[in-house]
Amino acid sequence: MNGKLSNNTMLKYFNNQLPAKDMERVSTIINHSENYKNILNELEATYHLTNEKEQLENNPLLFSKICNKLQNNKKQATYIGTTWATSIFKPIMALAIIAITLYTGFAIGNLASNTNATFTALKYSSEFHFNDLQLEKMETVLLKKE
Amino acid sequence: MTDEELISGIIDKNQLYFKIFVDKYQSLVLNTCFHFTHNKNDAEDITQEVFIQAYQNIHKFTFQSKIATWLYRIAVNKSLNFIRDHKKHAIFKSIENLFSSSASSPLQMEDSPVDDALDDLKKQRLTLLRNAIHLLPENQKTAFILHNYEAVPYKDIASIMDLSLASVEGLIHRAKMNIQKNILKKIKKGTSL
Repeated sequence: MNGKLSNNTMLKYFNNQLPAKDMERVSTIINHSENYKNILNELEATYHLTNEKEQLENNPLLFSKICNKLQNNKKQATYIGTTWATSIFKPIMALAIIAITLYTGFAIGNLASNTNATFTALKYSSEFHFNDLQLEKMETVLLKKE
Repeated sequence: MTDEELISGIIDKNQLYFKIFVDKYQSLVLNTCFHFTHNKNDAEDITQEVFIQAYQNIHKFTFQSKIATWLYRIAVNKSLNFIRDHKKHAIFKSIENLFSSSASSPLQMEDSPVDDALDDLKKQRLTLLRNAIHLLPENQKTAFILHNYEAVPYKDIASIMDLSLASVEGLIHRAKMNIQKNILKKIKKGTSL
């Protein structure tokens, strides 16, 4: 007897979930095919392994490993706290340095402009003198000398 | 010593009580993690994480459930997180491998010491079964492992997974069907039928 069985039909047959008539029909197909027989045997053998309880042996060093990890976590928490503070402190310091530099530059600039203003005043005052002198022509000066 | 005494001792920072607690529940946590990862070293790493989390949050334990149920919940969550992270790593590795010549398998299930004693055919079948379980959706996998390997009662599984009893029954039934389907597909592929 020839016939192809779908995965669903095979699984229902495997779990005895088909109606009696279908169970008989599928059983005949399987009995006539070595391949189907092998597949079902392999499925049975593999799935049967779920009944075997795999158990790992206890690790006697587990407690000390856990304690070490707890200690490391504490140290790491402190380190993270320190690095967090550093990461906050660094940009603040950088900004402060930039602000101080800018302020110093601005102050120096202001000082220079003040000096310039005084210098300009002095310049104008001297010019005033020169201008006064210029009121008198060179010929007049020479005339006076004579 | 009762669980209540153990917990109050741990809250009082008594190392001896914590050691007794770890020794008492190590097998439960270790084997649960192993059934998710199928790797002894990974299972031990996760077990350490589970006990660390339990130690740090023990004061929050309200005795509304059994301590074992609480530990199962932590172990399941940690194991599922580990598998998710592992999957992400595998994806990045496969992308990396696309650009390099070396190739590695995405899923690494090392042979456990339990496997060493097995013959080759049984090893092959066990790998097939583990892969079939690995392919299950997370909730089916959790329900199946707790029920099948840890023999946790349905009621406790419902409490661990925060589901109704009927949902747990449905999940376990679907998990069994899907495992069989995955195995069957692989066998058919192998025999090229």
